[in-house]
Amino acid sequence: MHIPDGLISPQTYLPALVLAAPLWLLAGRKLKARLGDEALPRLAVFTALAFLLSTLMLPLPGGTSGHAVGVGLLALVFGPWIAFMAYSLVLLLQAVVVGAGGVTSLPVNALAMGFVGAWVTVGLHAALRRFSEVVAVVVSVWAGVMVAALILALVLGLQPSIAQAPDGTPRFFPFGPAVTLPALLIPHALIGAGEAALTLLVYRHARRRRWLAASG
Amino acid sequence: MRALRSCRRLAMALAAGFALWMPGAALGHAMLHEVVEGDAVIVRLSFPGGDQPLLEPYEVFAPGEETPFQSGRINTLGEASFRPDRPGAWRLRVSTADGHGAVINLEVDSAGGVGAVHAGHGHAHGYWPRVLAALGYLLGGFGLWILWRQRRARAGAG
Repeated sequence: MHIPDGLISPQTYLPALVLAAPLWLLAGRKLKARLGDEALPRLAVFTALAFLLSTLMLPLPGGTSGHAVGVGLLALVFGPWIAFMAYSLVLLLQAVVVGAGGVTSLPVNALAMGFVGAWVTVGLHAALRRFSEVVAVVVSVWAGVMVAALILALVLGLQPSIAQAPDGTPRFFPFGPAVTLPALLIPHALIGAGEAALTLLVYRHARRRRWLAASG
Repeated sequence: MRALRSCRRLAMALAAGFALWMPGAALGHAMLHEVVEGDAVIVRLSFPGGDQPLLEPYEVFAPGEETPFQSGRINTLGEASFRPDRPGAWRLRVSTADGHGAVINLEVDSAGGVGAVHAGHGHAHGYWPRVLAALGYLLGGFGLWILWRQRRARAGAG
């Protein structure tokens, strides 16, 4: 789902950086304050799991492939702020070492997947858990993936309107929302379902072990 | 009689003029072609899972240019190719509808060959070694952080 470098305009990624920078500072402070010596190795393992999930390609109908996000699990176990920080680290390593995503697009990717994805997951989980824990985990993780995909589809789809050459041709990304919305949302509806099932398995284990941190 | 002869001459002149004009008019609508020999830069593209961005759009930009030198779709072999007409830093931009894509900077030498690829982190070889390396950095970084915290706690206690 990561947007790579070169496909989004400075008019998009610079405001995203301005928005993301204070959120990273705040998340860093919360990470430092809340995480004890016992939880830190656990965060390392869960961050590594999220990293691996986002590198495994799942074949999709139509000859393409997609990958899971992994931020929902981090958000449910450690809370949205720590999940945002940990997932930003995942995105940074993917951009710098693996070549997936990008450095200029990092703030956009981190805000969509790491911040909004984590908060949607935690918020929906809190709202639904009184009905059923299983339904709450599955629906919240799926919704977190879908909302992140929706934001990235809109960011991409708006590029032809945001940045144009003098002759009116798109400078960065050529497709509008009519193309990007189905291109991202339909595959991620399937990916989100798979990720929700996997998250449920790990979440149950984490809950039995009493690894869950207070949200927020 | 004289008028009839004049009309016949005019008709013959018109017919001759039309016959002379026709090939030119026909050529105006023809697409002429010739096969030329030359070297092209061929870039093969693929996703980490092995799929290829078949028939996805791409643009090639000549050194210092903002308008595309060439645009088209990736062929069914997963390749984009172009024939540079000058040395310098050429740019190939590929984008798929679902937000995947790459900008590849190719340094073309005076002989038309590619001297260097500057978007090297996206090249096809060694994806999994890079994933493992990133995993190593991640776990190693956390490990160092944990060691630093423990050392600081011991120093505080002592």
